[in-house]
Amino acid sequence: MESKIENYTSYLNVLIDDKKNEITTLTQEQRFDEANHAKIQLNVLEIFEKMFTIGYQKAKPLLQSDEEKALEVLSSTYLNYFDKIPHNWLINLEKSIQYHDIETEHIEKLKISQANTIKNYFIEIMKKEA
Amino acid sequence: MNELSPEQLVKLFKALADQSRVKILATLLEEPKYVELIAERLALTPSTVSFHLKKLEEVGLVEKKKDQYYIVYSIRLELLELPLIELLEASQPMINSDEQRELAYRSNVLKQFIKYDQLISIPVQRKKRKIILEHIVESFEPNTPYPEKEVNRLLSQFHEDFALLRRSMIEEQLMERKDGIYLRVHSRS
Repeated sequence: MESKIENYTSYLNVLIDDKKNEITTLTQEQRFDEANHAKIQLNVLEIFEKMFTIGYQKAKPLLQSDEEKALEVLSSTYLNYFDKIPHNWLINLEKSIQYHDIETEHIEKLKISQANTIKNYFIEIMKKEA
Repeated sequence: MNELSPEQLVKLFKALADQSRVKILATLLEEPKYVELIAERLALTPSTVSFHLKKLEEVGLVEKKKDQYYIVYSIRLELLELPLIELLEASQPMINSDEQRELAYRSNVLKQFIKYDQLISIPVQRKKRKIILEHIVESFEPNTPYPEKEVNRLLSQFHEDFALLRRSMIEEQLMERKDGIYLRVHSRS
């Protein structure tokens, strides 16, 4: 389990660092709206990084006695946040499409897509044999 | 040219103060193009291009036209061909207009509190709340009696606290109540 945790943590860290660099580049290039969009995506990454830590802390006490159970607790806790947190983003996306609000539509799509990317990677790692 | 309010002028300059949007305008100078083609040219996602085009469209720098299956965007030269001094002069007449200022204030309040026809929150400040209530009361036909149940139904479409809205309507004398029947008594228009 530890290797899976390390793998996912370093994956998130790389994404966060890349996003920070992207913000710097976009700002330097005077692409301010895109820099703001990247900040929104960074915020999503940081939220889920915190949620992952919460999931890990919850699973940690089980790690020595029952690794399988610990993984289960981590997965269910963490994946639950992917249902809860983007729930309002999906509602906003639906409404923005309905009201032709392209700005909100774009932002909600970025947030949802960013969350889906890291969710899928997490699922992929969890499926892999240790 | 038409007059531009100082707010519109700032919006126009803000729309231009972004390198991606400048590049989009430059590519549209060659010929009208559809979103995917602009995206490919500038190595941006189509969604990002649509976002920028919307901003440019809002300030009158681009326009769109449907061409068979595609929406084609083209540049509007009216504003771009003007010397800056003319743009500044065009924005002057409105600077001291109280009416314009009031309209802009109302519009900002509505934008701040209403999204997708729903009230985000009920303003605490009375002036703002009244602007919101005056907007909501437009949902009621003048000279038409409404039973309380119907008033609640209409108000609940804006906000879950329909009782507060209903009471505030009466307090602000936008509606009157007699024997459980409500009547709209004031319309801004």
